[in-house]
Amino acid sequence: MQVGDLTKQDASVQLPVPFIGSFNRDNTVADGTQAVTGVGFTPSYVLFFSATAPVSVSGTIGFATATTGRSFFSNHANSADTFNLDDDSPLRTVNVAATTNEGDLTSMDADGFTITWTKVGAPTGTTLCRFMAVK
Amino acid sequence: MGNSAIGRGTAVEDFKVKASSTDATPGFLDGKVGSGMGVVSDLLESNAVTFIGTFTRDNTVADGTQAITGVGFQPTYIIFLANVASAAPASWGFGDSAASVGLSNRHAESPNEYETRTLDVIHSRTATSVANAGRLQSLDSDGFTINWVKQNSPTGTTTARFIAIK
Repeated sequence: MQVGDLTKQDASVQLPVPFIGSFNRDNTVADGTQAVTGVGFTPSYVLFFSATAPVSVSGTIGFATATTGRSFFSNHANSADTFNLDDDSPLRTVNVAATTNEGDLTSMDADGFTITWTKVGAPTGTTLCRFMAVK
Repeated sequence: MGNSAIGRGTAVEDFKVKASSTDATPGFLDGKVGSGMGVVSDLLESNAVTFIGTFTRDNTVADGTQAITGVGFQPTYIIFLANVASAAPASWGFGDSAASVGLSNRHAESPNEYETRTLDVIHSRTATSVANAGRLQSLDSDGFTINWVKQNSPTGTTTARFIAIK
């Protein structure tokens, strides 16, 4: 049985398809922006996981829109067995005491998004980022 | 189908489906529809259909697939939270038909450490070089299928919570 406007019903099969991908950030690189491309659309929001190579006590779960982000991260390097919340950045690497490499999502772009990295101290290793961008 | 329209009022019961008098499609509804149709229409408009559920996996079971059903639709993507109760293994993951990633607590192998995972939406590391990894194999008409791949002989039971999004 057909009911209603099929144009509208057909739209139900055109639901936003997310894009799942990954990128890395060398924590020794100077502060600056990193464009993540290949997403295929301008995201509405992005979910993130991150850890480091070599593996460390740093682990973060975060999410961000174009205007703000939040994350939950292991703060073990600074205070054993503790976690902290960040009310700005979806990415925050804390693998060495008294250092951080914080990634803020600063723009949603036509084919992805841009992360602006800001360091405190001299973090080491590489931040491995996994993300799901949702249109 | 002839001229038709589906409209939405302020309440579920206000949904109406109208057709022209020339529409001869058998079974076509003409007039106000019930709340059941309203639910369907609401979902079409909101583009937000979700299902939250839980399942478990005995980590001692041999490698193989596990079909999760009862979702009610074919998911577009799924977000997972998983752990082994009262133990160190914990993981977070998401996946769709094209890719899957995750983050795993590897405390059982190296205290307080984390690792990103590719393919594994669920990852229970129960000891050094011992783990049970769940990979999103397919998105099915009523749920999804996880393919479990063990590393050596993990123990305990992995409990996974998920939200499936259409």
